[in-house]
Amino acid sequence: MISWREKQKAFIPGEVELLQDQRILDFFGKVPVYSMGDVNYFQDKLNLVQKPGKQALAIINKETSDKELAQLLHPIKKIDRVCVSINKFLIYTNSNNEQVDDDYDMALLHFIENIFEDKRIDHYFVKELKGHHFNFASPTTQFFIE
Amino acid sequence: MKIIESYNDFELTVESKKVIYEQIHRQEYLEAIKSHVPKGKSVWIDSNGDGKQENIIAFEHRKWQGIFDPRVPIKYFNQFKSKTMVQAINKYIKPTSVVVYESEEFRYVTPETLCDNLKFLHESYDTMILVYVNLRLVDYNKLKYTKENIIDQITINFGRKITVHGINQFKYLFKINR
Repeated sequence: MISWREKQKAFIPGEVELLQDQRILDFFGKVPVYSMGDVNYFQDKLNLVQKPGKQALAIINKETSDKELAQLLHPIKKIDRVCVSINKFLIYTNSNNEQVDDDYDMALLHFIENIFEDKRIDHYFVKELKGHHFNFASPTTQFFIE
Repeated sequence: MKIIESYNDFELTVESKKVIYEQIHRQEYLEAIKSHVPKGKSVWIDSNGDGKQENIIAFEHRKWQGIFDPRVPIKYFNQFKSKTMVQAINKYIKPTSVVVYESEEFRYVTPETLCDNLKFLHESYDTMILVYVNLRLVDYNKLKYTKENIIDQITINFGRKITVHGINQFKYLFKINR
């Protein structure tokens, strides 16, 4: 079955890469990357490995609760270089949290900051994200953590 | 290698539009929706309505014109909130229901816009309104609010006229009676 990413890339003639995918490729290069989540597309493009090392990639592109997300990221929080890519439409919580920032993009950043304490985080996101940025093919909310 | 950021970076062909329309308007929950549709004429707006069926009158946005079989009787509109379309439907079709399934008017919108669009339908059409909403695609702070909270925010505006049927996890059918 052709993925939604490949279907959309086929709309454009020639060789194309989604901006968010290119960021991931540029960040990791050929150094081994421990990976989790929706990473199939990168099997042939990155040096993906099974054991945690100096780099990690987590792509969250299925329904995931805030608690599940925290549990998922906990094992990689000490890794030197990490990319966390999140489809923000697919996150959910089971309880209202009034203390969370009103701005969802900032709330996600704070969530990541709380897990990856004292790290430098480059945050990419599309403000007022609609269906035009291939988010369901490859999440546009990305955190590059070093 | 071309790096693309959004749909603004290229032109869509008719074939591409067809792929997108099919992706947006999944058939998956059509039967579940149809089980709630009352007997009589049903107007389906931006909803993959099958105009070949005797009791369904399909209205689609004009931007999709060209992707459908021209033999299927589909009516096209330029604006979802068109007064002309509302008047024509009320006066000439007199449907027993208006169905909105997988419509772009209910995707990537805030709960406030979603509510406004529901109000528009309710106030415009003299009939039962059935709207399928995938809360995954509603734009709200998903770390702050539960989906139940969002449903409460929406339904509070309609009192007893509205009922919410769960279709599957984040997918709901909002039924608003006259």
